[in-house]
Amino acid sequence: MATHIIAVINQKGGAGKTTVAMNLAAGLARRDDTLVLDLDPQASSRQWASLGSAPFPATVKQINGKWDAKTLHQNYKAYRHLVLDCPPSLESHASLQALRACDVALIPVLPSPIDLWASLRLPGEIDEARKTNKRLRAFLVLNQLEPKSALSAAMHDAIAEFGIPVLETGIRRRAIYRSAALEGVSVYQMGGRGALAAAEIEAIINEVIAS
Amino acid sequence: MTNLKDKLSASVRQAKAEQDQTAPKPVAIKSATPPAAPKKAAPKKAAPKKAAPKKAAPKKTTPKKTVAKTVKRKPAAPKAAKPTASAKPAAAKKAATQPLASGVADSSNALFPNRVWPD
Ligand SMILES: Nc1ncnc2c1ncn2[C@@H]1O[C@H](COP(=O)(O)OP(=O)(O)OP(=O)(O)O)[C@@H](O)[C@H]1O
Ligand SMILES: [Mg+2]
Repeated sequence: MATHIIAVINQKGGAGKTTVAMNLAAGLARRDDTLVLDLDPQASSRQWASLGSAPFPATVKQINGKWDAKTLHQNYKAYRHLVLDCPPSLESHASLQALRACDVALIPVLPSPIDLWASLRLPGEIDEARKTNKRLRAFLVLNQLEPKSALSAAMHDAIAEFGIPVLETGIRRRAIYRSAALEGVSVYQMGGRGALAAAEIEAIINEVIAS
Repeated sequence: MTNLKDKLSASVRQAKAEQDQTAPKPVAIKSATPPAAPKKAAPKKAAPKKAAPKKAAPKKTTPKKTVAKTVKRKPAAPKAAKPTASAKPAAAKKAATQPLASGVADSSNALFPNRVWPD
């Protein structure tokens, strides 16, 4: 079966790309062999995976240099799922190729006006990528939602302006996402404390895969 | 609340309109036409950036083989492959001793227990 590629992308820094990519990959790894490709020179995913006392549930590699969709499929066909942790830039080779290689572009956005404004170039880039990548589907996912924040609640309407579907499941702001990174594991490995976060990630996987 | 929603949506529309005027066209794949001249004087950015590098379809290059920094785990590794939420690896145990969220199942507000963002 062909490798399914999910690019976690947003040119806005700190939107949660790495957090989503790593936890998503851990969830996918419970189903099938999964590889995270860290495309960001910051190498946060790789750093994260190197911290655990046990191996991270998904393999994590950093790649530099030039590549394209074909080379990804050739080199990583042993994996059922590839998760691309993109750098915070749309100009980079990595981000452009990621959009041209992936089946799904998952775009985390923080519930803040500044983050919305800064993400507005994405729809155009996705349209552009679709000219060569016909199967590309894109979804926004709200990250760091705060249930008590009126702004968080107002997001769903504002984000519709992007013209990109928004996942039903939003990710709440939870300390466990940060603790898990520090421990070098995913929220799935955080026992009961990670259960609600893991449930969020599961719901996202189901939405993305079922769609 | 409705007011906030409207304001937020309007701000996004406005940002979009401004970016449409000033921002570089989407990268790659023949951005043949230059950006339309901005209607109203836009702040600084007006000068259209150099069209970003056209790397849409690089020729067949092999990736740098991902050499150096792979973090363990082969695809087929059988054990530890299916950690469950109830599994308690050492890491989780260690974390549980931190004061931050000890014994609290939902740690969502653990970092900012009382913080509520004002409307
Ligand atoms: N749902 C969440 N709850 C709490 N903290 C979060 C959540 N999502 C992300 N964070 C924290 O927010 C910060 C930014 O997240 P992350 O590094 O995943 O973003 P990023 O988009 O990958 O950033 P960059 O653009 O620099 O690569 C990190 O400190 C991360 O631990
Ligand atoms: Mg990152």
